[in-house]
Amino acid sequence: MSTTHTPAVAVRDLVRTYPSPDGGTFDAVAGLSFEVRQGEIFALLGPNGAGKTTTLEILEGLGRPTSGRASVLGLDTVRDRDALQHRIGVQLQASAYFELLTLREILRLFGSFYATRRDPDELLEAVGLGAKRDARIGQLSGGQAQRFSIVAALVNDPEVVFLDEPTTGLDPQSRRNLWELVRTVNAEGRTVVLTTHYMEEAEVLSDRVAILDHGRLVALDTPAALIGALDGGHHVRFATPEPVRAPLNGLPGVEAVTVRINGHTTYDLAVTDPSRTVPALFAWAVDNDLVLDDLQVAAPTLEDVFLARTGSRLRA
Amino acid sequence: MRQTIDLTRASVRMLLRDSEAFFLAALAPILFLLVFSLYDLSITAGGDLAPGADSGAIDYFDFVLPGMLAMGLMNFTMVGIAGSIARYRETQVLRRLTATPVSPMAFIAGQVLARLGVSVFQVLLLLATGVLLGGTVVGNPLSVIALAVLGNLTFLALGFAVAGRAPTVDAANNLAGLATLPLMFLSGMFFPLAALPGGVRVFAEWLPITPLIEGMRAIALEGTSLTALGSELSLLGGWVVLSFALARLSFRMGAAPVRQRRHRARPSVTREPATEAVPTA
Repeated sequence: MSTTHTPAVAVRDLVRTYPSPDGGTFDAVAGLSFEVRQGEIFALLGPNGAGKTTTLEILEGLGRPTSGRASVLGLDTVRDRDALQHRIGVQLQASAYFELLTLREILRLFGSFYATRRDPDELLEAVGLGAKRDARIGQLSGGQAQRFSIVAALVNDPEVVFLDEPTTGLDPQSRRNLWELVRTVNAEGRTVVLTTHYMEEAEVLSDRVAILDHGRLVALDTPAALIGALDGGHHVRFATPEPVRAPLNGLPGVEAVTVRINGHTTYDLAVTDPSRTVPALFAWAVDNDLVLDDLQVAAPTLEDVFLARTGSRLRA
Repeated sequence: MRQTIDLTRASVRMLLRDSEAFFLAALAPILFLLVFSLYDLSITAGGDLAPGADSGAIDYFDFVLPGMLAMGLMNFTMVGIAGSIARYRETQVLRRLTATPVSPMAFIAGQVLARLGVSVFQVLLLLATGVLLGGTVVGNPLSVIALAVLGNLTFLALGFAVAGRAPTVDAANNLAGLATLPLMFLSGMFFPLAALPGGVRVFAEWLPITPLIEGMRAIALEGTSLTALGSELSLLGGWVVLSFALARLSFRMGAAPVRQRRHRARPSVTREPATEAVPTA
């Protein structure tokens, strides 16, 4: 076993280049360096094409870096691949399991590949799939299938678990259930590295977040620190029955105004400090003889962090 | 070794649950046999078909039975493995396996052993069906099984070679299906090779399925022993070596031959400067 001083994951100057359709090349990962501590839930957050999956595949030993190095638990992902694979758990984006085997049979088969293996029935019981042990993948709901693919990553009692977009395509309830499962996996002492393009997921679930864009590290810290460091990023939102002609951008602290007409008119003001903007907004409403419906003041999120650091939105 | 045993056992289990495999392996050849059993025909060595029995000719059902056996074997092993491996690739099962410490050789061995094992029962089932429908099998069924195993090794390797080149399940099925056409109609499966024109006949004689059909026919019709089938066995053996080399060149466990990475351009939404609140629909 490695000591707690060894990082769970260490990535240094990682580059992965692919041929692009126009005959040239593009860097899916363009010089990435970061470390994941043992015992963390660590999220790689970014839009499609940010290099999250490519990075994860290199860490899992499925892909080779073009240059730079990656190690997991002190083991090089290329040179020590075989030893490493016994100690990590992997969940890929697709279902990726034999369709004609039952859940229990799949876990037994996958367990047989490893030096250490856990009891399939116990594993299934632990994630609430005990009653489905004789079912096949095709008979599971989306949420159940994702839970299964996570539990299949645990057959070898791994120290580090890699989850690639574990909640993509799930309904909100299933997503929350899966977050609980990820927390449980982490509470058992396993480091969890996951990718997501849901800022809410990274914010709620992870101890630290690495924000990626175009294969580069944009920011890395705890969600709270990332948001706290943001200058502004608050939102004031309200609606009016009719579009308003009076200008809003003169109000103190307002950085941007987004207007949407959908039956009634909704306004989203990006502001630096709501305590300065809101009183002025009330005065503006009185001056213009307006009623502000559904008024809300929202704290910034990782979405705002991403916007501030990259100039683009996470989900277009 | 343990991995191979576990993978073989799992693959056998999957084959027995696979209705498509069952159709290719058993149902289709049995339907063919049923149809052929309706005809009362005899065939000469030169390929002349005539109604009824003829002293100098063979009963056509007896003639075609080894052919149907070979067809079932080819479809179950070559077409079957190509489709199923392509499917494992498309659904990322292969990729998931490469993320485990399982050795690619253990996986391939498991697939091969499972299909070989199940095909032994396939041979027995089809032979029994043939006999039940009035066919004659003079020789030793064990010799038929031995030939079947040898022929299947080639078919399996060709199936892996196809799966290695085909980017999708459909492509694999089409490619394997295309390969079965000459193997079915230029191999003496339905008619004697003697009835083919010279050039085509030479081509047909070198196909991997021809010595399988000829050998099984000699065993079934004349009771020929394996040891007397030297030329058939050496041609089959040569094809095993050749097809394994092909499979080795073509088949990769990991990435598909043409791997299109998702790379969508992301519309960039820039932060607009504060402007007058002019509503835009």
